[in-house]
Amino acid sequence: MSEAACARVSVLTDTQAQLEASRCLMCEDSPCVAACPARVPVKHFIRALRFESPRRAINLIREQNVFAGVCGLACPVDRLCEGACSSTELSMPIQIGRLQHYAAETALRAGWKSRATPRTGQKVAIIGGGPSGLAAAAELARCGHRPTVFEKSPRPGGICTYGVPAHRVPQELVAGEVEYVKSLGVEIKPSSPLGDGTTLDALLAQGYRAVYVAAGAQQAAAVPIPGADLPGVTTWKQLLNAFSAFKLGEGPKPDVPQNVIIVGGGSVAMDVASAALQLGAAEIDMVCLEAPREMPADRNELDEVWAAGARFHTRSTPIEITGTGGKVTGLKVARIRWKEPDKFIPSNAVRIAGTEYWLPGAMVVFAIGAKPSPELAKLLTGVKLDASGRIVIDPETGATSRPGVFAGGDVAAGGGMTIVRAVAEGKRAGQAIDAYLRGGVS
Amino acid sequence: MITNERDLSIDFCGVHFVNPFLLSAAPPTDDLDMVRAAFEAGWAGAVLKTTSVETEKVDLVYPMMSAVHYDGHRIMGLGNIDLISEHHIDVVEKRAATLKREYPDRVVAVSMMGSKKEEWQELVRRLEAAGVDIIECSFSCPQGSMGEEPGAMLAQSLEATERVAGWVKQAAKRCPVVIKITPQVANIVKVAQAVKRGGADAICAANTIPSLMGVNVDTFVPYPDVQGRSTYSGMSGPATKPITLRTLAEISRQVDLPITATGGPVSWHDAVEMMLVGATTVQFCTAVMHYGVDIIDDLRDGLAFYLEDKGFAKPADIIGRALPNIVNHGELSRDVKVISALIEERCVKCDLCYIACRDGGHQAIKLRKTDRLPEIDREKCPGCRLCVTVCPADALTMVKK
Ligand SMILES: Cc1cc2nc3c(=O)[nH]c(=O)nc-3n(C[C@H](O)[C@H](O)[C@H](O)COP(=O)(O)OP(=O)(O)OC[C@H]3O[C@@H](n4cnc5c(N)ncnc54)[C@H](O)[C@@H]3O)c2cc1C
Ligand SMILES: Cc1cc2nc3c(=O)[nH]c(=O)nc-3n(C[C@H](O)[C@H](O)[C@H](O)COP(=O)(O)O)c2cc1C
Ligand code: SF4
Repeated sequence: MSEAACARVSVLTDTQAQLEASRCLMCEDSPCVAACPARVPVKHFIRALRFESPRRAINLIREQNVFAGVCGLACPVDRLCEGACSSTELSMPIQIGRLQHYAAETALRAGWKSRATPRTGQKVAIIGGGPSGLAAAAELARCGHRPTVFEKSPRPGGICTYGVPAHRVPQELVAGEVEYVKSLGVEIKPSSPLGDGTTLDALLAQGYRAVYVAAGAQQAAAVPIPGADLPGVTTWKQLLNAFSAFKLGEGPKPDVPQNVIIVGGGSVAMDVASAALQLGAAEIDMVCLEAPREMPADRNELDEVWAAGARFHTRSTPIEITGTGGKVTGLKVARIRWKEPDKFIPSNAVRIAGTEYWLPGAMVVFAIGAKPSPELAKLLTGVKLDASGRIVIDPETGATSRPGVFAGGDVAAGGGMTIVRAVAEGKRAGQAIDAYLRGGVS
Repeated sequence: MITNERDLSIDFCGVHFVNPFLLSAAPPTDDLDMVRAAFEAGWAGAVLKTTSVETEKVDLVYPMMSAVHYDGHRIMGLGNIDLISEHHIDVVEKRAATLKREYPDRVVAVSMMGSKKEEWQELVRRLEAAGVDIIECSFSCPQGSMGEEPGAMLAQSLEATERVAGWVKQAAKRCPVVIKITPQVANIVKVAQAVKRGGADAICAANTIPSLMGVNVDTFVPYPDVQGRSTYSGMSGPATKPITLRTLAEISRQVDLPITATGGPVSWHDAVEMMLVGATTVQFCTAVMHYGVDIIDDLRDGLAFYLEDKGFAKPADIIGRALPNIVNHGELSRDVKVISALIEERCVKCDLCYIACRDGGHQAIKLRKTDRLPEIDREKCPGCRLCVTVCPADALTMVKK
């Protein structure tokens, strides 16, 4: 069962990549580019592959997206570039994600180096070494500044390192792309959180001329129902963090019982399910408000979890976690219907009376989103947050209410975005910080 | 956008090119703004489409293009029944002067064609006065047969080639003279020698290949269909590359003249191959007409990374590197036996090698009953290499027996 839930994506062979690249129509207005949040020049990188210059291909991609390989594997491409592909009407979309991944793996295997820009400009601090922080740092380095990334965890990469399971995005690929960012002239300080004595004011006092806050959404949500405080109740964040740490050799194998109940209908819930299966769970029950067609999860991931034998309790809501002797024994759920059509949010759900039933299980995992850590408010004096603790930013530049302080990625969106958008916001903020440091508008 | 800024400059007949890539005389160079766009995109030079004296009648016919596609891929060969430019020397001399003023670091060459001595020489004088860098003479237009056989091309006559090259050279006081020949001759070396005897400075090898692009089996009209009739086309594009490579190799091995290549290149890889067999610069036409002027980025990056990877300092260092490895058939080694070998993990079991060897080779491949994997019979396989060429998965290779 666990094998089926973790089919690894392979790298295309040279021949496969050539064949796929030769299908690309190379259309002038390239709708794929417009559909990519990072504006990867898809047509041009595929043309470079087709005309035998993989090195040009990867350079073109990385110019826009330093997480080229990770995104090639992890982007919801059917909703982005591939969803817009003109070839769809001829046969099927070009596998843009796979080709991008191929270019990245080819570069890593060949060890092609980038030319580091001399670190001559201004010191800029980046809080958080996830995709958004690293993309901003890369852009600043390319502009000739001296970015330093302060990362809380022992390894950079953010959710790509401590979240997305390795069967979907191999750790070596994440590490390789982090190395690439470093090679541009980015300094990364692992295990160096903001907090722990440092604050925004302290950093600015140390000579950092600007700051990009990309600390992600660290506070995983749970539904406040009776029993939610039992020891066997956890979140995607704890389970996937521990799973990744175990895979990286940083921690013990997380204990997972035979029966696991997962609450949530998105891709994160599917990742939790495949992690639980790989950790030895035999029975998986998935509970979510949405009907299958309404679930936000990626179809392929959903299919894999379903095919691996998980039971889906759709249009259902958790109402109570049961337990005895401090141990979880199961979850009570009830069916729901939507008050208004096409509004798949919790406040639009109504419980249907008399439909309650009980699922046995020794662990309940909430995979229903996250928001930024509440600690941030204390550390980021002068920076305006909204009611959910998200940093308020100018959508064009990433500028916050405090001059010289910028933010982006999940810390501003409050989770629920994509790696590629986090990268795009980082790059854009890097450019805005460059303009700010050169005396332009912020 | 290019991602490798390496210097790719090269000299051809004493003219400095910022890279070895230029546009050949064809529609992409028959309009001032199109050439401007090409220079902006990064092309090192352009040969403006063949011009003539004001009295020359250029009677074009439309439609003029057709193509041979292959296996779902568009334009393996492009056929045209175009003629020389409709723009005469009065227009072209002004364009050349404008381009030279606006883009002093780019090479402005002009292709020209006359039908008598006075015309050839007048064209040279006017182009030199306009400030062009190079004069290219089309000896391969179906027009301008100079009173030889009707429809024949100038370069198909050794005598006419030498004589006209001499006229042009006599008139040219400043510009190098390049003669553009046709591959449609019995002995390309003799043509090149005639060009040299005529005193020209370089050769452009070669023009399109006279072809019949196809026949509509319902209407019995070949392509392109011009109101129910058709005629022979000049074929360009990727299908012609091997012919160009042979032409280049033959000329460079036997005639000491610099060559600018034309005929079939699409990628940097094609261009490098042409340089390896003797070309100094490479001209592009069909690839630009198909994919757009910005393919220059692919060409520049591709060549730059190639030179970097191979440790060559400059493009000139690769010219002619493959020539010593081309010998006559009789001089090839018969001593080492090779046979085909399977790389099992790549095989997708399509059986194409089996079919090819059975019906076009030596029945040396069997399909294993248990798993359908091809098995090569070491005794039966003489090493013809047909199977390697048909394998879609790169799963076959030649090894020493
Ligand atoms: C399980 C899971 C799977 C996902 N799968 C996909 C997918 O397949 N495709 C996709 O496109 N998106 C996916 N996403 C979403 C995507 O991962 C995020 O949107 C993206 O990682 C956000 O990037 P970020 O840089 O803003 O934040 P993060 O990736 O969360 O990075 C934030 C970084 O900041 C660090 N940090 C936090 N606080 C501090 C502090 N005080 N001081 C210093 N450092 C700090 C953190 O340790 C972390 O490294 C997934 C999300 C999850 C949770
Ligand atoms: C439509 C068309 C018009 C052409 N006109 C000319 C011309 O006027 N003079 C000339 O010397 N070559 C002419 N050519 C030939 C090209 O310059 C070039 O040598 C040929 O197309 C082969 O190169 P390619 O395979 O890169 O296209 C023409 C080619 C095409 C396709
Ligand atoms: S390519 Fe342009 S000019 Fe030629 S037929 Fe098509 S639309 Fe007309």
